[in-house]
Order: sequence, then structure tokens, then C-alpha cells
Amino acid sequence: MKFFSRHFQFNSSAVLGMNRRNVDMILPRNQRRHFPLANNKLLTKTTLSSHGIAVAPTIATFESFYEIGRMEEYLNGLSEFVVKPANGSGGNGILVISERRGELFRTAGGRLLTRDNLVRHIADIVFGVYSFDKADVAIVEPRLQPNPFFAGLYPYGLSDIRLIVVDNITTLCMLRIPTAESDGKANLHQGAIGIAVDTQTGCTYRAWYRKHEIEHHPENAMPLLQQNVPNWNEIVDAAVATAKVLPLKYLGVDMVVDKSLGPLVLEVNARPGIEIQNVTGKSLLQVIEQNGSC
Amino acid sequence: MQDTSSVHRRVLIVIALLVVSTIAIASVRLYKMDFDFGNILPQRIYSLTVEQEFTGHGMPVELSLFLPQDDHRQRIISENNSSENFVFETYRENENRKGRWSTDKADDEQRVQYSVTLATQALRYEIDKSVTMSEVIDTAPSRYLTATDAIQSSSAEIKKAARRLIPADGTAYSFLKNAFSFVSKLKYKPFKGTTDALTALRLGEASCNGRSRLLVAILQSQGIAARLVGGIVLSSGEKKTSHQWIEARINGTWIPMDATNGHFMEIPHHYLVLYHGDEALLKHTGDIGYNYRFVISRKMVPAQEISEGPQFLGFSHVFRKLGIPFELLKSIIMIPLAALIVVMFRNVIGMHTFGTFLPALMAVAFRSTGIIWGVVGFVSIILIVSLLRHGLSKLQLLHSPQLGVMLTVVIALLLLFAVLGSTYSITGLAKVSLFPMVLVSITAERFSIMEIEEGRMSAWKTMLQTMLVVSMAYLVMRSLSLQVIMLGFPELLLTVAALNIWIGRWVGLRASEWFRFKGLVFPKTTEGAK
Repeated sequence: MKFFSRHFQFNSSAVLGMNRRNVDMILPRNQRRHFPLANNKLLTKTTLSSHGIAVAPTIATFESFYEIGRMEEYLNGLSEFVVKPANGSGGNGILVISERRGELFRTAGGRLLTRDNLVRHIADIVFGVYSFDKADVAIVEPRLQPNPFFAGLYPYGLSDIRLIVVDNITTLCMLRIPTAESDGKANLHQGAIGIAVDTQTGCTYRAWYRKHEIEHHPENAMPLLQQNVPNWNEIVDAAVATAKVLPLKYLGVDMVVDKSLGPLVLEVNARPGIEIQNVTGKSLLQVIEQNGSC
Repeated sequence: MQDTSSVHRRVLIVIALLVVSTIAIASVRLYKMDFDFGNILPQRIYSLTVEQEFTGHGMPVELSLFLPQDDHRQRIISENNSSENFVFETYRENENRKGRWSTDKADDEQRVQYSVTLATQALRYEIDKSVTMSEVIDTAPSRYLTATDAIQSSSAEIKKAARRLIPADGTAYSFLKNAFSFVSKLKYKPFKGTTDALTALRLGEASCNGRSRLLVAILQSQGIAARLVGGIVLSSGEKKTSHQWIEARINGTWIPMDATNGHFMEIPHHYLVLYHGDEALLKHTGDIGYNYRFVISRKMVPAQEISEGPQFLGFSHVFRKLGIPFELLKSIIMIPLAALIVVMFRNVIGMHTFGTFLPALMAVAFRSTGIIWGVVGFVSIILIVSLLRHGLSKLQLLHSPQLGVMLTVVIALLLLFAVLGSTYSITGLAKVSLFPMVLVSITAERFSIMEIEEGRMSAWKTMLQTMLVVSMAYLVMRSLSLQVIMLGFPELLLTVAALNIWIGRWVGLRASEWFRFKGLVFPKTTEGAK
């Protein structure tokens, strides 16, 4: 049987490739029918919060066009909030409102929206523009405020923490810090910085930016290494608890640390990417083998 | 978590079953079903187009041409006549088949075009070498023993020349051989009208028709029935020359001989027989500024494309019965192979393509456009439609109606290509109109979304990789040897499925990942010291 797993691979555990991730990790551990628990952010949130795991609060949900008329009721007095599709992917359709002046809304990116623009965006979400044409739910959440540690690294966007939890054991972790280049988004492909965090200690040990190791933030020169991520034990506990609640045994858990609410699970991913190995300089395969879970 | 090793076992069993079934079915066909490799090996076919042009000035015009017939060594696969202003009819004349184009009133420049696709065979004949000339029994029509104005077999000069060729042993074979050598040694003279047998003999020089008449006359003068054969030597290109050779009747069989090109008792593959007897291939009403040419091409095709009989698992026969073009069948049976290529490029090389099987289906479309016009057509449609989508996004339309607009524009572009291609006689460009339009629209959408979300650079990178994979799939689909193998052994589809299953369980690093994770795959030795 080794024929399949070893053929063509010189150093078979040097890195977890896409094929092995799919065949040896995802297919045996994550059944397709459980994917909605990860893909539908609303379902993830209700499932996790029913088990006492902290998630981002929900202000309102819009499930049909009819409900959008009640937007005013929900948003009354709110000047900072986030609108996102429950089934979006890759951060598409997420609208971050940072300021409100009467009928005008300003996005975190500085764009001005009218009330009609906002209604239209919600309608787009409901109609499935961001979810491959399947009717979707628009979720409104408060705009989270980064904890001072993350704000210190980059104040103009929301940094998050990605943990890969395999068979309920945390394997590799990284912070994703936006840059001006990444347009405030914590997406490595768009130019965000990935910072490897030691799973045990919560101490940062490697930073990865544009396919190179770095030591300081390329835009504000903040030191990135040997930093202790606050609330680390809580973060790992919440990630492991999330993995235990969900029937997905190869899981990417995305978290944020809010200034006042503390660590929150933002979303989970049933097919987390493998770029984290470049950030941490470690092979997921070796870490999993060391953990004895594979 | 499912037990991985039991999955592996299951996979191995399925793969083994598929491969064993392939071999089993092939073996049964090879040994039990009277399988003939000749039925699956590729064959050469020829296309001949006879173009005739003239300028009329209001009077009746008639053109005629001898048309090929099916016989033991040549077979018509398809035949087509295009002559708008003429009545076209075919009729028999002796053992020949003729086509006639006629009109009561022809004005200005006129054109008729007759095309035929044929499969031919080379044949070599043997005769009993001990049969003497007097023992040769002939059953041929008497006209093939009778002298004519141009084949003067009763002339004393011919008879005298012929007698010198009678061998000492008196066998027909040696006589044929001597006569053939004698005529072959005549000096070659390029074609200048008709040369009769006697003139050829007296001058000692002739073109193909003079030589052939002389050879016929010599044979006839000694009681061996012989006739002229007219046809065309099918070598690729354009030409105006037809060819003549002869056939001698020996014990009930017409034995071909071409003294011009040195074919004794054999007829090569590329000889097309059009008529028997001393005839003119083309005839036309005079005074019409007449011109003609033969356009010839040849290609290799899988045998099933031209064979007729049903065979075991002979779906090509079924397709023909249903009136589905063989080209379509060829595409259908090659699609799984093209898809396998795409799978390999994606999962083993690690290339990104638009859609999983879009490249395979585009490769099918490229078959009619050719690779260059295919790529030009595809990339330009995607480019135009994605620009259109940028414009449409300003109108803030809902998704499905927007896709509807894009599809409409794709179709408009396909029509435009058809018009442009036919106006400038670029077939490849015109055939772009056969592209799968829904797939093209969806690809344009994906391209445009990728441009917005991941940047222009990665959208174009994906486009480049998609075109590369399409080209590879195209080459595989076009490969004659692979076509022959797949058509001859359609049970190989099971093995193609097995290969997909194998790749589906293959967990090795994709080639692209060696680069993506080069720091991990090839760690620097100094790193450990840090």
C-alpha cells in the first residue's frame, strides 16, 4: 500500500502537498455532509456558541429580500459594523463600515456609500452574488476592535490567527497581519504578513512576507519576532474546543482577539490551505507525525 | 476517520478489476472474434477535387468527366458536386461511369467542382508463368482485340515489331515482359496531345498515352486482349496532367501495366482508375475559354473511418447507421484521454486552469480551428468579454442577467468570427464559431472575477497555463496512433478510468510545489546552525 503514498516523492514528509492534503487529510477526516458547518458562517456561529465557545456577536441577519426593509431598525444608531455573506469565501462580499453620517456610510477602505448602496449590497448577498448564485443570508456583526498587541502590529485592519487543528490537536499556528499593500486584508496572497506562533508558548518565531523571511513589518518597522501573543492559552483552548464540537478533524480555525471581548472564533475552514508551512518553516506532515495522530 | 489502508485496498482492487477487464475484453476479441489488425490499422485516403472553369457567352454548355467507381482496389468514401447553375447527372458508358454538367445558357465566368474522397490499395499480380501465348483464354469484349484508328493492332509494322518480342519459350508471361520492356525503352516525350500506336513506334518516342496505345496494339496483334486505362496519379498538390496505362486480359483477369512509370503487373497505391478504353477524361463544348485543374491531398485516418462492416463492439458501425459523423465519434472517444491529460497537468504538474475539463472540451473545438486560430479566437473572446464585464459592473446588474448579456456578446463575437473568417477565407478563424459558447462565457466570467480578486497578473498566468494544457490535450486528441489505438480497443476506456483513479489517490508533491515549498523541500544546511 506504500506504493501510493511514497511513489514519486523523495522526501515524503518534507512538506504536505495539495494531493496528500486532499487524499490523506481531508477525505478521511472531513465528510462532505459536514462541510456546511464550516462554509456557512451563521451555522458555525450558532453551533459554536451553543457549546459556549466565544464567537463574534450577531447584530442582525437578513434571509430574504422582504427583511431588508427592516434594515433601519437594526442599524439604528450603529456607526461601525460589518456586513458579510454567510456562505462567502475568500473574504468576498464583506463590507466594513467604519463611520456613519446620517444617510452616508464610510467603509474602512474610505469609500462613501449611500443607504441605497448598502441596501443593494445586502440584497446582492441575499440573492447569492457571493455564494455562487445560491440564496444566502447576510450577517451584520459589530466591527471588532483589535487588541492593543495586534493594533500595535498594524492598526488599520483586522489581524487574525489561523490554527490548524488535526484530530483535535493544534499543529501549526500563524498570525496574519494586513499591510497597506494587502488593502487591510489578512490574506497572504494579497500581501499580508504571516507570522509563525509557537503552539506551546504563543511566542512568534518566524515572519513570512512575499515569499521571504522578514524580521520587521515592511511598512512600519515594528519587530515581529519573539513577541508573545496575548491570551494564548485561551486562543488554543477555544480552537481545540471548536474542533471537538465540529465533526471536522482537519480544520482551520480563524480567530481574532477583540479589545474588550477577548479571543473570538471568526470562522472555520474545512479545507485550510497549506501555505502556513512556508510561514512556519515546518512541515504539517512532520508535526502531525510527531503528535502521533497520523 | 476512515481506515486509510482499507481504502487503499479497495482502490487497488478497483484498478486491478478495470485493467483486467480491459485485457480480458481485448483478448476475447483478439482470439475468439476473428479479429483482424488490418481492420484497425490506419489507412491512407486521398481527396481529389476536379475544378473546371470557363467563360460562357449565352449558349448551351456541356461538360463531362469520367468518375471513379468502386472496385476491388479503390473505394469511394464520399463524393460531392458543387455546380450551382448546372444540371448534374451521372450515367454509364460501357463499363465506365460519367458525370455530365449541362446548362441551356451559360454566361460569364462559371465554375463546377467535383470532389471525391477515396481509399485505394496497391496490388501486385501473378500469372502462371508456364502458360503459353496460344493457351491464353480470353473472355474480354471483342473491342479489346480489335484495331482502331489510334491503336493499329492490325498494321503490318506493329505486327512485325510484336513478332520480334515473342520469346523462345512462347510463354505469355515472357511475351508481356518483353513487350513491356520494349515500350518502356521508348524515349519519353512530355505530353503533347494524342499519339497513336504506329506513330509512337515510328518515332521511337511518346508520352504515357502513346506508349500505352503501342503496348495495347502489340498485345492485341498477338491475340492478347488489352485496353487502355485512364486515371490520375494521386500525388499531393495541384496539376493538370492525367495518366494512362494499360491492362492485359490473362485468363480472365485484367493485369495492369504502366510502361511509363515501370509498373509491371502491379498498380501502386496512388493510382486512381477513372475509365477503361481509349477515351478523353474531360470533354467540353468548344469556344468557352475552358480551364481545369486537379487538386489532390492525402491523409492517414483510422481504419474505422472508411471501413464498412460491423464488428464486435463496433460502435463506429452503429454511429454510421445513426448518421453521426465519424469526426464526432473520434472526438467523443478521445475526450477521456484529453481529460486525463488535463488531470495530469493539474494534479501532477500543478498547473491552474480555468475549469477542470474546459481545456479538454476546448481541445475538441480546436480540432476544427487548428491551434493558432483556436488560441487567437479564444483569448480574444475572453479578453473582449471580460472588458465588457468591467463595463457591465458599472450598471450593477444581478449575476444571472449579467451572464446572459455576456453569453449574448460571446455569440455575437462567434458570428463575427464566422463572417470575418469566410470573408478573408480563413477557415480556422471561421470555425471559431463552433466554440462551446456557454463554456466560453463562463470562462470569461471566471477570468474577469480572477482579474478583480487576484490581480491581472494571476488571471493571465492562469490563462497561459490553460492554453498550454489545451494545446497538450489537442495534440493528444489529434494523434493518429492514439486514435487508432482507442478506436481499435475501445475497452481501453476502462484503463483510462483506472489511471484517473490512480492519480486520484496519488499523494506525491505536484511539480509546482517543489518550487512553492523549496525552502522546506531543499532546506539550506546553514539554516540549522542559526
